[in-house]
This record gives sequence, structure tokens and C-alpha cells, in this order.
Amino acid sequence: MNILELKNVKFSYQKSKSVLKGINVTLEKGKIYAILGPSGCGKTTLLSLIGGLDTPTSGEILCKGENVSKVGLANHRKNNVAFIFQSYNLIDYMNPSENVNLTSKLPALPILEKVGLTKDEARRNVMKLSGGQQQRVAIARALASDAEILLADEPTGNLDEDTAQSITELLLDSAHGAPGKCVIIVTHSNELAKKADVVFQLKKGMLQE
Amino acid sequence: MDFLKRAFLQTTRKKGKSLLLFFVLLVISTLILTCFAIRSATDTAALNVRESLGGSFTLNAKRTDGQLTGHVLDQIAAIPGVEKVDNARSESYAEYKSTDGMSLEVKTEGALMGAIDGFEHAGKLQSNVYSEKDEFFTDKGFELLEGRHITKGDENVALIHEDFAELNGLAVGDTFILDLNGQMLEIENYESTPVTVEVIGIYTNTEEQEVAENVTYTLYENTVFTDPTSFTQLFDAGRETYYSYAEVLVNDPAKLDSVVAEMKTIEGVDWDASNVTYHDTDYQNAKESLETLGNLVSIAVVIIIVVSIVLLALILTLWVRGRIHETGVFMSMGFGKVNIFMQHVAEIMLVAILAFALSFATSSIIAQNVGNTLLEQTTAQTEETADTDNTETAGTPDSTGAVNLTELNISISPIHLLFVYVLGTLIIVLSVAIATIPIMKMKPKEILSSIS
Amino acid sequence: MNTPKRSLLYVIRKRSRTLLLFVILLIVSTLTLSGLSIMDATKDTSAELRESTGTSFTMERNLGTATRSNSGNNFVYQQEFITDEMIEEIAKIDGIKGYNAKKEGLPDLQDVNGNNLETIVYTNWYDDPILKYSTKAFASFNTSYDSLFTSNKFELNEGRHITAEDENTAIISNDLAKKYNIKVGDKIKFALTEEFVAVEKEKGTSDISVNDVEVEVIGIFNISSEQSDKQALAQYELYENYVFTDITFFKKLYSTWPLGMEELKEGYESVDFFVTDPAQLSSIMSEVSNISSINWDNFTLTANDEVFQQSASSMSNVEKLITTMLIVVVVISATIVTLILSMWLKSRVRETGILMAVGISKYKILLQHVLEVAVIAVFAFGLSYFASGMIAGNLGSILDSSISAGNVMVTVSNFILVCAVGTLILLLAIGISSIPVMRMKPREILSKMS
Repeated sequence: MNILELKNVKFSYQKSKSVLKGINVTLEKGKIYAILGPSGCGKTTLLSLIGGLDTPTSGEILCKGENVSKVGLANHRKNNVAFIFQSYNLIDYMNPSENVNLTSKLPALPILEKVGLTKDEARRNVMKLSGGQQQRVAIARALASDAEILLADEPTGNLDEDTAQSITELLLDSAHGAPGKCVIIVTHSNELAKKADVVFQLKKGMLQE
Repeated sequence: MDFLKRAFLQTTRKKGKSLLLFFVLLVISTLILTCFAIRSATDTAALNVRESLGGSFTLNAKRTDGQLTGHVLDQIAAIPGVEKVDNARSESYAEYKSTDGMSLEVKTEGALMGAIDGFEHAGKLQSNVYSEKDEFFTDKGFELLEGRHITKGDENVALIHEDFAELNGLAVGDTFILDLNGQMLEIENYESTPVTVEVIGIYTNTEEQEVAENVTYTLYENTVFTDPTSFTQLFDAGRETYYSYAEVLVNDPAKLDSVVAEMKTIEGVDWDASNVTYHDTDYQNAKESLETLGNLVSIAVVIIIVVSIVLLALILTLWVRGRIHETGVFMSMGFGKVNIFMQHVAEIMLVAILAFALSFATSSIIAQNVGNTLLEQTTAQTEETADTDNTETAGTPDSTGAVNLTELNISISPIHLLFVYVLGTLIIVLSVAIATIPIMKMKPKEILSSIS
Repeated sequence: MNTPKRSLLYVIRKRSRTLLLFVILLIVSTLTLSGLSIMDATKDTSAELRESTGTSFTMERNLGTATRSNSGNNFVYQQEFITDEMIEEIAKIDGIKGYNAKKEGLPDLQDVNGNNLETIVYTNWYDDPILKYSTKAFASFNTSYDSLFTSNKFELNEGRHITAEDENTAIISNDLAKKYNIKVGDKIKFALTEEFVAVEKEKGTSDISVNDVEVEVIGIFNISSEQSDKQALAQYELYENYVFTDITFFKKLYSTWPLGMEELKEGYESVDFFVTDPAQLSSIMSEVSNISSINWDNFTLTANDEVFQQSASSMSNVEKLITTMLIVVVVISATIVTLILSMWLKSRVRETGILMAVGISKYKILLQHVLEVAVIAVFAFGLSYFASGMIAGNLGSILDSSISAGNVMVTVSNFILVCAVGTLILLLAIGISSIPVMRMKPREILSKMS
């Protein structure tokens, strides 16, 4: 089911610097999309636009048929999307449960256990968790939020191979499992890209499959 | 890399943080310096209040038997804190005779009793350096009609009442004799030393005297003013001119006691036989309030300094604690604890030296502005005293106009700045020490985990 | 999670930061409150300083507009006298704290049983039956405002001053009290003695008779300023024989001597009025001169404020300086608090980014910061009330003066002021320090995080 539609989306920082030169794409729930591309090419920018962190210079982004700008960026971020950054995802003065409950009223513990955290770890000071555990918490928060779109920016960048593996599994699960989310991952890991349903390349401001 | 160099790099690279620290240090040291300046100014303003209220004492040396000479008066005038010595005078009674030895007439009509033995031809004798300063002229309504007042340097002169002049046919320029007799002094076979004086002025009284309540020799009409030399010649021929009374005016009434104490160290005078009467009512009335205000300021300054120290220490400790990560890294690299400590101190000091220096300028500006806009400088008329001799000058006290006030300005003294530098450095060193101690105590394993 | 809960979690979990902010706010608000108390004390003390100058104005009969006539060698002036009613009218005016006028007389001293008592004298030239028992008595409204007391020539040692309500009372000198062992509370008499009456009758007055009145001694004074030449003075000229008493007594004593009473009935030649605040003198005087029931052509009003004039500017300087210092302190405290808060908020950029990424609006984040500070501030301000109360109490005992500064205290209005202004400053501080962060586009925050 189509949940996102980008119509001729362009973005430039200043008049001269044009980063995205007309993106047209439709994205569905229940699928994992990977966006590859060299550093600095605008992957993160594209993710920001989809996530409502900024507005395109021209063109439209429609989420569930509605223009994101009309919905309101904050609302869009609150209701439709969930972010997972490479690092610094968590609020340092809240424990994992509270981080999860930042946007959702659902009981946090089951979700945390689902992503692989023990009861003990769930109560620990977030800053004392390992990188992998922190990403799990981030994913748990994203899952709990009920957002239908999951945006991940280099989610496994700082992790070792094994941990990266489990995190990737979680992401796949959130897309293919129930209810399936539209998961969009920006990465330069070909390993991760291999596992995606659709792989895009962002070259010279244009998206290619 | 030597710690100074690391400190320098740290400070210059992390501009934002350094600027903030600079600002905080600047603000706090400006606060303290300004408070010091205002405090000093307040002391001066309080001094001004005391100076404007004024104070003096009357020295009564009658019983010292002629020891209060002009020389002693000069010494008193030289005491630091004495504004001037004024109205040196004496008073007694004398008999009046004409130049051919005949007794002169005095007013007796209406007086309380008839003429008393020995005083049939006598009246009150006042001796003044400046007769215009005598209480009779300044307070009791005497006015000069003809001629001139007695002034410094005059010898063998006299002022007489117009009635006395008329009664005895005396005019300005005429002479008569001042004398004493044994009955007046209750001394048998007294040998007097009469003095011839020239009439240089004639006065009258503008206020009524209750004639019926006075004896003849206290009547205004029978009062004669003369110069100190004549007075001395009359009572103690051959002696240096002396006085019975003098007024000593001081700049700061709070110093009356110390001035009197110093006066009593002057040799040649039996101070136990003398008497001092303070005239400092206005100051006494104001004293308590003034002292309280002074205390309020002192307390305020103390509180402010204490609070500033605490605040500064807190902020600096915060500052250093925020650098734990870095400190851990350095320790893991093998830098000594002292070395790291010195680095932190140096980082802050680099900024502090500039901040403290600039605070001198900022607080001076504040001080200047406060001084110019707020304060009222009483325009102390600069008295051009041609002679630096501050014994009596002509003119009644009232005519000299504004009181001399110490100049009031608000400024930062170098000593205050030094205080800020020293205290500031101390606090910086202490704060860094307190902040880094826990880190220094960490075991190597803890350091590592604090980094990652 | 709602905003209040986030605020609470921050405050509770970030214990050292919370504590630090609490301590700083506590220190600053205590400092400010104490400063305000000191300012109040300064104002009160400065007012007392001004008051200590004993500023007054004198109402006198205007001899310039009087009718003059010759009587022998002297001029006699006829002019309206100042009556009791006029005095009462003027005394009602706000700012006038007291007044005095007096009448003189020379009654003789007697003990309770009517025996004549010799007054003090330093020479025997005045051994005269009339003078032997003489005193100089002043019938006054308020002796505390008599120039002999205000100039500190006399000092009240025991007992109290005479006020307008007193009847048949007296204040005598220490010397006279010692001579006859008179104490406060004892009774003595003043009289028109037989001898005095006889002399007056000889002079031609027929309407006069012997009289005596009993008075209670309510005060004893010391002479601080010696007269010179005491040997030449008659009894009634010596300070030692000065007596203060009230108008009622005079009226009673001279009731048997109509001629003496005449003078009393006339009224007063001059009256001194004392003001509380010398700075108000001219406005008070103009208010007085507007009293319609008094014919001001016949009277003059003269200000006696030389002392105040001389010292006024210095006095105001002292007050201004102290006030300035306190203002500087408050301003700088506010600056420091702002600096610290901005330092703090800057370090929370990432956190702000996360919250924004999760969809929490900028204003909710701002509100969170405000609530965090608010919670701490409530406790800090509350505690500062007591802390500064303690300081004020200690201040009071250090100053230990009988004047009002000894009652330094923290007033409720000052406290409210500090809370209100403090809150304003905190809000401003948070606002200002949040500006840079708030102006960032979410995307920029994101790039700061990767």
C-alpha cells in the first residue's frame, strides 16, 4: 500500500548548491528500502525531507495522500514517522522504558524485551548501555510509536558485525512482520543493502533503482 | 606538549567556551571592584557629612596663669585635623582713667545695686585678636559705629561704647588709661601696671540689656574691648601676650578627642588647669545614624565578596568537571596529574588575566558614570589663603562661605585590583583542585570506562 | 510523555545540575533579598540622619509691620501675639513632630511646707532678700523641643520631659536637686513671696498678693555647657537655677498678680516648630503659610535648617551610593544567572534534536526548560526567604542600634518583588539562551547529531 509519494522533489541549500534535482518515487508499507550513495550526496537530506525535518525547495511529499507541509512538520514527525540515528538517539536522563514512552503510552517492557533487552538492562541508565543495546532501545521506541514509516540513518554504522546483524534483523522484522512498516534505510553498507527489498542509488541528485 | 602550550591551544580553539568564561570572570571581578570603589566613596561621603556638620571646642585656659601664649596657639593650629584656631580672647574687669590720672565716669543708673567698692569706675574688659569675632559682636548685637575693629597686630588700642564716649568726651583717636586697683582684686597694697590705649573705634548695642538685673560693671555701656598685648601688660606686665580662651575648629568632628589629646602633649602648659568644652552637637546627633550607614555598607560589601567567591568557585568547578573526558584521555596518555592540573589552571588563568585587567576599565567606567550622574558635589569654594598660617584670619566665621569638604570621587585603586587578582587566582587554583581531585583519584580502569 | 513529566525527570535524574542551579538561585535570591533589606535599612537610617539635624522653623511676630510708639528711651512695638489656637492649628499639619514656645518668670523656690529655699549662687554680692530664693522659670509646651535641650546645653538625666498635657510639673537642675535632696516624684513649691509682693507694692502695683503653687518634679537635667563668669551672675541668671514648668502652673501662680497675668494672656512672641524630615521643610512651611485663620501680615516664618542645608548633599550622597551598589549587585546577579542558564541550554542541543525528531514541538521543549527551572526556583526562592531572614536578623544584632536599622527585616513585599522580578529574569534568560537553538531548523539539528 502506498504510503509515501515524492513528486519532483528538489532541494538546494543556497541558490547555487542544488542537492536533490527532482526525486520521484512511491514507497509502500511492508517493504524495506535502502538508499545508497557516496558521502555528502544528499542521502541524509532526502531522509530529512521525508521525515519532515525540513521542506523541499520545490515539489511535494505526500504521506497517506496528504501533503506533509499541510499536515504540519511536527505533527508529521509525531504521528507518521520514527527516526533512528547512527548514534545519540536517547535522552540521557531517562531510562530505556522512559525513552520508549517518550512518544507512546504502550507498556515499554514487552517491547524492550521484544528487541532483545533484559529486564535488568531495561532499568539501567541509558548511558551505561552498549552501542548495540542503545540502538535496540531506539528501535523499540520507533516500534512503540505506532508510526508507519521508519527512517534509519546509518543505524549500524558504529556496531560490530554480530550486533549489526541483529539490529538489521529487527529492522527487517518491523517491515515484514505485522503490522508492516515502510522502512527506509540510508546506508553505505552493501551487506545491509543486499537484504533490502528495493535498493536506490542517489547519484547526482537523482534516484535510481 | 608542554602544558602551557596545550592550555593555549585549548583556549584559543574553543572560542565559544573561552568567551563565556571570560565574560563570567569579567562580570564578577567588575562587581567586586565597583563595590570596593563605592565603599571607599561612601566613606568619603560620610566624612563629608561629618565635615559639613563641623565641630569645635572652646579651650578655657584662665587658670593656667598665662600659659596659653600665641606660640602655643600656633602649635595647636599645626595639629593635623585642626582647621583653625579662632577668636583667641580674654575677659576680665578694669578701671578707667583719663590720661591725666582722673577717674572716668561709668554708667550706674538703673543698675541692680549702687557702685560696688573698687568698681566705681570700672567695667568689663574684653581682649580680642579680632574684636569683630567676639561674641558680643557676633551674637549679642553690638555694632561698630565709628572707626575700625581691633585686628591682629594691634597694640594699645580700645573700642568703647558710644555712651561711655559721650560721658567722658572721648572720640576716635583719643587716649585713656586702663588700670586695676587692690579692692577689685582683693589684694592689699597692690601695685598696678596701667596701660594707655588709643580709641580706634566706637560701638553701640542694638539689643536691650536688662539693666536692672546687672551690676554696674557688667553693663554694656561700660564694656571696653582691647588688644591682647594691652591686656597682658595690664594684668601681667613683662610677660608674653597670653589668652584666656580660644576656639579650635576641626575638620572632622569624629577626631575631636584625638585632637584634644594631641593638644595636651604640647609642652609649657598645665593642661590639668585648663578646660575643654566641645561644640559638636550636630555631629553627636548624627553620629549614630552615620555609623549605622557605614556598617551597612561594610556588611553589604562583605556579603557581596563572599557570595562572589562562592559563585565563582561553583562556576569554575562546573567548568572543570565538564572536561572530565579530556582529563581522562590525558591521563591515559601518561601525563602526570600535576601537569594536567597545571593545564587546567593555565587555561582559566589565560582568560582570567585578561578579564581581570579589563574589569579595571569596566568598573572605572561604571564608577565614573555613577559619580557624574548621581552625586552632588558641593561646590567647595577654594579658599585662597595667601598665608599657609591657619591661625586666625580676619573675617567672621560665617563670611568665609562654604565648608571645606574632602573631594568625593569614585575610583578604583590599584590595591583593589591587586586584591582581585590575588583572590581570583586563589579561587581559580582551589576550584580546579577541588574539581580535579575526584578525577585524579580514579583508578586507571575507571578512567578508561569514563572515556568510552 | 507529557511536558511536565519530562521536566520532572530531568530535575530528578540530573541531580548535580539541579542542585547547582538550586544553590545558585538560592544564593542570588538571598543576596537580592538581603540587599533589599539593607536598602530599606539605609533609607530609614538616612531619614533619621536627616531628622537628627533638628530642623525647625520659627513663627515670630512681624515687628516690621508692627505699630511703633515711643516710651521714654525705648521703642514699644505693638503687634499681634501668637495664640494657643494658632499653635494648635499649625501643629496639626503632617510632618510636624513637635513644637515649643515659652514664657519666662522669676518665681521663688520653696519646699512643700512653704519654707523659702535659697537657690544656688557663687558670690555673696547678690545677698538680697529678693534674689536669694530666685529661680528663672520657663513655662513651656514641650521642653524636649526647647533650644536649651536641642542644642545639648542641657541634658535630661532622670525622669521625663514636660509635654503640653502636663499640669503643675517641673524639671530642675542636678545641682538644685542635690542641694535639697530632691528626687523625681517629689513635690516642691514656687511662690510669689511676701518679700516680693512687698517690693512690688512699693513700686506702685497694688493688685498683687502672696501665692504659692505645688508642683511635682518630673525630671532632672544636667548642665553640659558651663556658663563663663559664674561669679558675676545673679541667682536667676545661673543655669543651675533654671526651672522648666508648664503653662498651667504659670497661670495658677500668677493668678494673684493681674499685671503678671497680662503678659501671659497676650500669647507668645515666637514659637519653634520641628519637622520630621528636613527635606519637607519648605513644603510644610508653605502649607503653614496657607492657613487662612492666621493673618500672615503680622507674623514671619523663618527656616532653621542651616545644619541640614550644609550637610544635605553629603547625606544624600551616602544614601545614593549605597543604593547604587545594591542595584549593581542585582543587575550583575541577573547577568550571571542568565550566563549560567545559557551555558546550560547550549549543552542540550542534542537532546533538543532528539525531542524534535520525535515530533515534540519547539514550544513544548521551551516549556519543558521553563518548568525545570520553575520547579527549582520555587524551592530556591522559598528557602531564600528564610535564609535572608536569618541574615537580616544577624544584621540587626551586629548593627545593634536603637534606631530603626536595628530592625532590619525581610518584608513580604520585598519577597514578592524578588519572586516576581526573579521569575521575569529567569524567563528572559531561558528565552534568550534558547533563541539560537530555537532558530535552528530541525534538519540542522540532525546534522549536528550524526
